[in-house]
Amino acid sequence: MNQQSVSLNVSVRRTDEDSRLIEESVKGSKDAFKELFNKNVSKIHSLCLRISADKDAAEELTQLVFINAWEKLKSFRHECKFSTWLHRIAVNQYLMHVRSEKSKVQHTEQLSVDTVRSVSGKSAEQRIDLEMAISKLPEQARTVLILHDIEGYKHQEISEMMSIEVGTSKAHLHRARKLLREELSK
Amino acid sequence: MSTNKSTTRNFCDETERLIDDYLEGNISPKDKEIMDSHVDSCEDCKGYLEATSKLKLQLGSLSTNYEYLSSSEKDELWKGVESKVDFEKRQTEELNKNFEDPAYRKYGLLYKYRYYASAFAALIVVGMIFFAVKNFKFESPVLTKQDSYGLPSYWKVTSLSGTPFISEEAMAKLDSIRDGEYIITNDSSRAELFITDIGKVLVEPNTKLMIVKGKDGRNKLSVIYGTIDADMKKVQEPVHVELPSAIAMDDGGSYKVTVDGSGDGLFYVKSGQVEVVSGNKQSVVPAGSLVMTKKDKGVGTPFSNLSSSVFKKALYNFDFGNCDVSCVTTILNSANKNDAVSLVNMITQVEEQYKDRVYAKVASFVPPPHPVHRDSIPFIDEKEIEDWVTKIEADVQANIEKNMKHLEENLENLKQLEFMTFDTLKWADDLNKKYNVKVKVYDNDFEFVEMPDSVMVYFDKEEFKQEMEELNKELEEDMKERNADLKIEMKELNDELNEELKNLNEELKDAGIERNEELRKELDKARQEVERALKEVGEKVKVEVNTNEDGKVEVKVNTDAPEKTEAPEPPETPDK
Repeated sequence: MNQQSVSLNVSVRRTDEDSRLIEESVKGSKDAFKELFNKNVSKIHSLCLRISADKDAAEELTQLVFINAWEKLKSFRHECKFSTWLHRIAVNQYLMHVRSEKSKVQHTEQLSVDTVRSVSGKSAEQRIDLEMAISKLPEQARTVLILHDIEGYKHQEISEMMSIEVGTSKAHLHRARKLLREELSK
Repeated sequence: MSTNKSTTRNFCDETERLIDDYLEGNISPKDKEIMDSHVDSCEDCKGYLEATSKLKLQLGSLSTNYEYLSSSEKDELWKGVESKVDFEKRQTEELNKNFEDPAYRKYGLLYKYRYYASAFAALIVVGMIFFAVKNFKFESPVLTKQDSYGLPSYWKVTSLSGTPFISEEAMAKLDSIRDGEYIITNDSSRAELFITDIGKVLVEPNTKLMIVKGKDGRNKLSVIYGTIDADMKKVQEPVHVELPSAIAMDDGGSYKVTVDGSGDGLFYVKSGQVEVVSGNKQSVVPAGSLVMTKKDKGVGTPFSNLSSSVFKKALYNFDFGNCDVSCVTTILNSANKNDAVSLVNMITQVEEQYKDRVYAKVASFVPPPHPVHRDSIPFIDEKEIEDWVTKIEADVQANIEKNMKHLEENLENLKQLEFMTFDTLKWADDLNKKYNVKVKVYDNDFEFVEMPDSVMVYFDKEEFKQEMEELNKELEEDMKERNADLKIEMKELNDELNEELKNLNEELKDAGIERNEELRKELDKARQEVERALKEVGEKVKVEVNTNEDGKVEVKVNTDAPEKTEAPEPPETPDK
């Protein structure tokens, strides 16, 4: 059977709707920005909740993400999706939050099952178990795991974001996976 | 004999370490080959790889798995964002940014709102034109232009309030009047007439003032009714003021003239000197004096406002009533120095038999400038009267000035007295009582003599004490709050550290236990292998596995060799 290779010229085309909303927001349109907010807030909130494992912190972080996004909107170069850009802001915001004084106070309550259910989206027990297990991880290990295995960042990127060595990032990931396996095997 | 042998590292450790990179595809080809081959043969590592891979997949699926927030949840979050973002600021920036024109950069807002500015400016101009047209008439050319007689034809008039009329027409703000015309004011209007190079006349409300040309061709002011207030310079040809029954000629000065509805008038001279003439009677009125005019009787005798009522009444009778000898006697008896002017004016008016008495009376107050013999008194003329009045006036003026000076001095003393007895003294006393500060008061000044050492003398001690107490209280409360906050912070920090330590210990423990277990397994394995190996060689073996304090594992293998049986001694050979 002959195989034919087909090359495709793929150009990244920005979502017209998002582009329009971004442009209007840059010009100062509150309504346009609110629309962007509504489109992306759920995902950002989930990320913040998962990464912080703290409901209150997640709400605060979510708000901070969009406040920052508003302030830095002019610097958005459309080199990636807007949601991706927001993602990065969320991660940076969380890491800043971790580094700040306040964040040294560890959350005293682990996420409830209901909260985890809300994050996981569906009621699949497996997923709930996984989310619960993630929330129980030590902070740094949890952060690296989420960034690497869930959000898809590379170790190099994670090391830069968290100001740690690549090797440390790998060690955290290794540990996180191990602990997860143990937790899930219970 | 025992021997110690070290353990070999478990190959699965390496596998475990490399498996993450293996799954990422970040492994060297050589290591990958080793891994592939090991995983095929090691169930544990195979299981580990599968589990990790599965976990990775599960975790990866979480990225697209999230719950949409409800509208109310989104609204709550949006409120937080909205409260912290200044949306209007960017809108304003954008508005301003739209004007990229260099002209805008130069002229700023003026350029931005140029259309509005232009419209506004046009409106202003139109308004000004409208206002000008409404309020200004054509002004006549120079009013000092003179007519064929060499006299000004027009005099300027300005409206001061309300709407005065010039003859039958409402006058403009700035208007002119000529002979034959008159100014009429009502109870709400006033006007001012400017007599070129001579002076000005204030036309009070309810006045009719006419400009009339005399037989000599000179303009006169004729007060029909009402009040005028004139202020004139001393000129060679003054403007005369005509009353219904008299005419006044000033020699420079200011005066007020009132004519009532019946034609009777009253002249009051404020400064200078005015001669009021009717028929062959002339009254020389100096500053501070008044004179009446009656329509059918002409001008009266001037009098001072300081004259007694008895004198004035008698004088009125003399001028306009029936005055016999008793009237003159009353005048002379009731006269004082203030009435000198009246008496001087009477000399030419009084009957001859009274002239010397009047003369003598005046002379007793103010000697004449040129004394005349008694016999010449009846022949005193107007010029001498004028001079005498002038002298009286000068004398009065001198007295006035003297009195004023005296009054001023008294006033000054009074002020000082007020200063000393009311303000300063009381204040000094208060200072002493309240703050223990001694003040010495001078004529118009004061000086601190004794002050307490403390600079707090300027504060109310009680008040200050109270304030200090309140401040201390506040500080204490502040400190309490701060301490409480600090305690909480320290406790939180302590808790955090304990938690961290606990976690660390647990982790270490886990790691330790795990490691120990693994080690034990390894050791068991090793021991079994050694035992097996040694059995094969048919020797009894005893393996001891010890873990030293430093974690090193020592394996001793003891073999119990069978007892050596001594070879029988060879038999002794006989000696040959």
